Amino acid sequence: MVAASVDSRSWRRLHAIAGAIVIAVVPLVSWLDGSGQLAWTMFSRTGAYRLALRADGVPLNPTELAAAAAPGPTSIALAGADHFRHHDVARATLRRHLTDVARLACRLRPGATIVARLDERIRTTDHIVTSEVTVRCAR
Amino acid sequence: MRALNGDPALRPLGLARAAFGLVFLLRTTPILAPFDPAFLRGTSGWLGWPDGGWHVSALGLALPSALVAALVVSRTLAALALVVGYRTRLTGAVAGIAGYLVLAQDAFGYFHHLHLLYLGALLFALVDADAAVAVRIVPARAPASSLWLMRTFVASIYVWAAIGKLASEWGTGAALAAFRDSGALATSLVGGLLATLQRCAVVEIVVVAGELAVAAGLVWPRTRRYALVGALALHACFELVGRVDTIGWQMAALLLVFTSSGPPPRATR
Repeated sequence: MVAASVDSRSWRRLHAIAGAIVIAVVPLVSWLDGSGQLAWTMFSRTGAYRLALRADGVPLNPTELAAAAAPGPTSIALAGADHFRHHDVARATLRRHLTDVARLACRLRPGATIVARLDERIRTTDHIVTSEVTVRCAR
Repeated sequence: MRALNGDPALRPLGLARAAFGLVFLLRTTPILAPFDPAFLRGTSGWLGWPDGGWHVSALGLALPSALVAALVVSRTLAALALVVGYRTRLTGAVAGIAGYLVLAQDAFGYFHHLHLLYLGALLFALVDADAAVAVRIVPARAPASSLWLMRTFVASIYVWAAIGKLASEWGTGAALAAFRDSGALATSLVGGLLATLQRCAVVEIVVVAGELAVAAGLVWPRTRRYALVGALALHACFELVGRVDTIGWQMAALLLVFTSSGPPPRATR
């Protein structure tokens, strides 16, 4: 009886800790890191992105890169990204993995120097913020 | 039958677990392929593997293909066990952890509904989800806190959704207008309703108010029944207009934790 009561108390404590983490801490931390990816933002964000790629100074359309990445979600995020696209999660992911995307472009232009430039807008009225990476591709 | 029903007070939790496991299974396997749902188009049907496309792992957690395949098999078997209620503390954890590991193989493959799917499975592993509606009934250890955890978690999703909107452009009309113009909404259904910025603003305010009302209504037992109906109506609208993958179905399954728990039916006593 006593053992069962202790066991029950431990589970109640575990539920309280799990609740605090899942309900408050994880969404809050995700909110504070700017992405809100783990915060159930549910269509609340209007973030948009545009991707410009150049291989040795010559433009490379992200849709061409999307075809090389297909099938899968990467391809969906890249297709049509030469114009502003509304997708806040893809925007945040693209910023984190801009170098990886530039490396992917190396598959299409071996030996070239790839410059990937990401334009982001968190809100429709915000100024555009630009990030840029340069990758030298192996031959 | 009595053995399958288990603890009548925890029947809502058992029902929610079974329904959530079913949505998990349908979302991560090709079972629905004959119906051609949007989420299966252009895929093998097994979420995350085999994957012929280019992908970059999140957090640098790239695993060998054979291991990813094993995780997909484990995830599927664990989801099946969640549906029927077999060792749910173990299988819920396996489904959730395997799900997150497979998800981490493709950073661009992250979506809110997949996070909800795996987090939900992990939470069912922590609570007395196998004390009712399960093939292997396990006596409850902490029934009240189990129900509290799942109910608070579900209500919190509506609160966070509303907070997210209140802290963004929602209320000005700009958000829905942007989604409408990007083709993310079924304008054949709501084109007139969202035709102007002012109308978009009104709809945005109604949605935020609806989410807050659902969250508050679910917390209080007296208003729970109305909040449940409101929540289901809200998700039906989102599903039709926003084409939001399976999140509406997942939430409908989770909302079963709010159904009333009464004494067992007479015939089973």
